[in-house]
Amino acid sequence: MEQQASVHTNTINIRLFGQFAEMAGSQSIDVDWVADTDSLRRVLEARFPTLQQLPYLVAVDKDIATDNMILHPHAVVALLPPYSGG
Amino acid sequence: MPSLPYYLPIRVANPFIAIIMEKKVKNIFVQGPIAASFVADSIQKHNTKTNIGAHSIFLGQVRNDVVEGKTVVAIDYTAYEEMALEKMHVIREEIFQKYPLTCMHIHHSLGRIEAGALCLFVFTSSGHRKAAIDACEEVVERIKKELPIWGKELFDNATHQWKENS
Repeated sequence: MEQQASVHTNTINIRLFGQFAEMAGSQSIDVDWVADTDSLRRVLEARFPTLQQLPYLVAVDKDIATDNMILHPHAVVALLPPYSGG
Repeated sequence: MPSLPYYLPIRVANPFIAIIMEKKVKNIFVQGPIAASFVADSIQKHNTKTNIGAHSIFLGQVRNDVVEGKTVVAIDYTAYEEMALEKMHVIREEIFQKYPLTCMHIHHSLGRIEAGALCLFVFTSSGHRKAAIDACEEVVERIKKELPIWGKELFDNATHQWKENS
């Protein structure tokens, strides 16, 4: 059921990394479709209030959304905590 | 340590093929620590490239930081690999535009790396020292700042915290 929902355009599958994957206990989550990244941030911060305290980046098709970005139906969206490579 | 891809310069007569090959996105990730012997072998492999006059090497090593009485015993690295490789490709192109380098090799560990083990290897070579040194430093800074890689610091009491680059 859940797997089916993720391929429909009325939901967005969001890839999770680092502490976000740990917090969610999953590599991805589905949220109801929103038109742009600002709306997505609002939806996510309402659902996961800890995001309001944590700096995070939204990547759309492997690019960081610096301003508000329109989400196209097949956008690959990811939620990125602060980097700590190297 | 598994055998790692090693990128030798590709000489092809057809410039069109050369361009395609240059655009190929290289993998930087290795599972587990980077062995000192791998670093040595990498240096050795450059002895046929006699136009090189300088190498600069940066090695990142997992440090046993102490946080509130707990000691870091290892770091578990994960990455958004597809995005990191794409970003690294852009960084690589920009660095080659900016500095007269002969070659550049980058390896970053994934998975659990014990304190004292190597987790990052950046290797730049050029005709003269300044380009190799400056490029190496810039690449290290950009890797830390721009690549979606995360380190989970594992403490000696089985707890952990997520590292954050300053």
